[in-house]
Amino acid sequence: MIAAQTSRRRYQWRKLGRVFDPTDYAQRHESWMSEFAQAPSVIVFDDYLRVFFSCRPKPDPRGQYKSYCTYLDVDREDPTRVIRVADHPILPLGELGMFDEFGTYPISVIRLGNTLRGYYAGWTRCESVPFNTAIGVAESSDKGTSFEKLGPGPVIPYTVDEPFVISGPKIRSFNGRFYLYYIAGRQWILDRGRPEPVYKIRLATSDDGLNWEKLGRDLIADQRGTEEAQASPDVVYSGGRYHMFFCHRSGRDYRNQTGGYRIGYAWSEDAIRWHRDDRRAGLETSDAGWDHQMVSYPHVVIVDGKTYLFYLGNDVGKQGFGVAELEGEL
Amino acid sequence: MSVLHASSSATQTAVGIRWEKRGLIFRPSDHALPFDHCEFAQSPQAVSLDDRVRIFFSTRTRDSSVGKFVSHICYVDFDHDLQRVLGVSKQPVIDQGGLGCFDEHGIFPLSPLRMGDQIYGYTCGWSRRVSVSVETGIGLAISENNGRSFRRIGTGPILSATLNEPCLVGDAFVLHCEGKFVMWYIYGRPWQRFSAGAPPDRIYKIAMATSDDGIRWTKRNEQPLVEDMLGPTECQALPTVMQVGGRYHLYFCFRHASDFRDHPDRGYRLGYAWSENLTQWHRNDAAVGIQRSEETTAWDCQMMCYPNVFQHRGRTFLLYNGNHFGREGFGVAVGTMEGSDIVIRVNEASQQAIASHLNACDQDFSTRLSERVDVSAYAKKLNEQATTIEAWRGDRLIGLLAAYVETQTLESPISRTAKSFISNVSVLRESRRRGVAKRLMARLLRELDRRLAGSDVQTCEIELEVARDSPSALGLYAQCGFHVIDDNQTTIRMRRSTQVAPSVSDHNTKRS
Repeated sequence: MIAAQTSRRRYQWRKLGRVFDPTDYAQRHESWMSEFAQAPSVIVFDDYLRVFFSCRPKPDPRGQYKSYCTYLDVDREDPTRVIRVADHPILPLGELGMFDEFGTYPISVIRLGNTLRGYYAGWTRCESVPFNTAIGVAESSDKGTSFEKLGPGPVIPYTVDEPFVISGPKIRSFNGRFYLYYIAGRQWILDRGRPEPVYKIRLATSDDGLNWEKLGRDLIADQRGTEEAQASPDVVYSGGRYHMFFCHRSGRDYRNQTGGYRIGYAWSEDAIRWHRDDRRAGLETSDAGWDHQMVSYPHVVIVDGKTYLFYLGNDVGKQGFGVAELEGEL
Repeated sequence: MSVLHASSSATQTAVGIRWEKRGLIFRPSDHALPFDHCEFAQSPQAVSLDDRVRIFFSTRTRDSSVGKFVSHICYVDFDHDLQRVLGVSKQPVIDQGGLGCFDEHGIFPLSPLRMGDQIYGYTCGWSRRVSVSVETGIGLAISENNGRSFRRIGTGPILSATLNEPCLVGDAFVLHCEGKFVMWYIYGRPWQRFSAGAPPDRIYKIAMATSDDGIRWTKRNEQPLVEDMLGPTECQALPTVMQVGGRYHLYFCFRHASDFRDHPDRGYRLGYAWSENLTQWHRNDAAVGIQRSEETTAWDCQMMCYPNVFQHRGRTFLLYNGNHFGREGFGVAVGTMEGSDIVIRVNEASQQAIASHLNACDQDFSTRLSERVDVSAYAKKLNEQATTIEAWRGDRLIGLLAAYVETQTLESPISRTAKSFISNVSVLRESRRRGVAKRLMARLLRELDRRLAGSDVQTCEIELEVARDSPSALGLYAQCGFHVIDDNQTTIRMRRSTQVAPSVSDHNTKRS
């Protein structure tokens, strides 16, 4: 019964502070990085952690953004200490009419021998709704300094029950098989005349990472009604089971503290069937500062026996991301 | 063994279907269609029903909020001979797609496939983009009432963009053949702007997918399906396929990627390709059998597009649109297939039928057959000892391939080679140049495959002799995989050698 008791424990995260504020670079990298540092994804190197993320230049006159993937390196001993910041995007936007013509956000990177492979969501612009997204794949042979797309189209196609807004990829490899956790749009709802997408966490598995088999069902039960939107399904294996940290928001009126993003938690014995238990997530907003309104888009990485959680602050990472360290283990 | 051989019994290129135009058969302006449509009946696609031919087509309304067109699917019913309109649909057969869905801004076209009591409607859904005009995907909607209305199986597409088919997946056409579903469709390459300031143009190509249930599909495109005739930016659209005479006939329309709307030289016309195995396709626009009208006032003088081939009560029809992408409506042409009245059979001909056939061909052999052998004795021998592959028109034997077939390795037990010998290939004079000899040869090869599968034979050798002065026969045998092994003054000896598949494949059993 000891195991049952510990499994209900609420995780205690010690916030280490903000890692990166992209607005510090707005002058230098105006054309591609003025604000937003979103969806951190870490690859561990010998003496540093390479954190891939997406950033944006200022919006165009119509208020529309583009987003680019890039990276920064932090000290492996102290992940709040930035060693270097890339001075260029690592992945080009798509050609005319392609699914990723207007943005690449987020990216999730996995190591395959000497190659890094990145799964990223590409953004296109639509007429009746503001955007659509799909997941593409690219590889790097220079430790992530630059990526080359494996094809001009998406690697996860839209299907009958996943009609649009396929995004938020998190690539994992468990027991010799690839697992791609992602989100798929369910419906566009009109919230006071404005189209807002509802999306749910989904899973596909694959032997080669290119030909995918969709599981075809929602992984995480709704807690904020059928219009709940779920994002950033970040999965890590620790202590004999799988853990998922994700974020969720209300379907309508979510651009405020009540309806906005929160961090949720679920666990699983097999990486497929999940038990949601948000009370255990344990990361809340601060009383003041860069993350006092919102914490979202979690990413957990275990390195040198320490468990870190990278996350976005206010306005979905407009002023960057920070990191927290777990007391104990998952 | 006899070494007889009829010359000039082969054709280099089989002829496709010949189409006789009947002209425009449906003008939307003549009928009371939903929304008071009076223009556009695009991409007609027929389903053969017991009492009528139902033809689905796309027509348009204008989306008042943005001033752009939205396509809807309606239908018109015709009598068996496509001469008389029986009625038109009172409303579109499928409603508009939901907000943000792949088919939100219209369906064009819908391709029907009759499945017992149901009709599967494969839709090409359109949704508008900002930097380019549109993106498409293929959906499935099912009708339980012969096509009067369809219900989507879900809000998303059944086939959409993938890594190397990055956009504009659409124009599905599905056949149920050889135990599986086969889909021909198109996909887009990255859009291009051909001149500064011009709107971006699409480039799309024909591709193929297969499925066990018509719902979950696997794309089958390691290489382009249909060769480009207008270079890499050629646009190929609306594939439609029919299986006749042992071949798959693929019709489609194609055009240049830019300046195609107002320049007839660059606009849509019909193309053609054929295949015997669904894998290798041979483009041969010369055999399309139909052209734009030369008369400058004709409805199809500038453009022919959006073909749909189908059979109804034993007749073959081709529906298509003419000038202005079908603004005035659609027309029909009636097909006659070269050789479609010829049936291939194995080991059925009597000694008398063989003798009578050989006598009718007698003078066509390079050396008259009757000068070399006793025809009736030869016929008796073929009838008793050879495998006879026969082409019949009605009860008349019009073509004969006779081979002494070995299915064991008696002669070469070590190399495990079975040797067969083709003794005779002959086709009646009036039935030549229709691919009969090639069909006979293809049937023999299938027959050998079938008989050798599962045996201990590893190599199958077939030999034949042909007169030097028969270039068309030599060409045919070369096409069928024979190569010259001996060449003397008057005859050439040829051999075809293949490895036998280790076990009986699905494919062979289905076709046998």
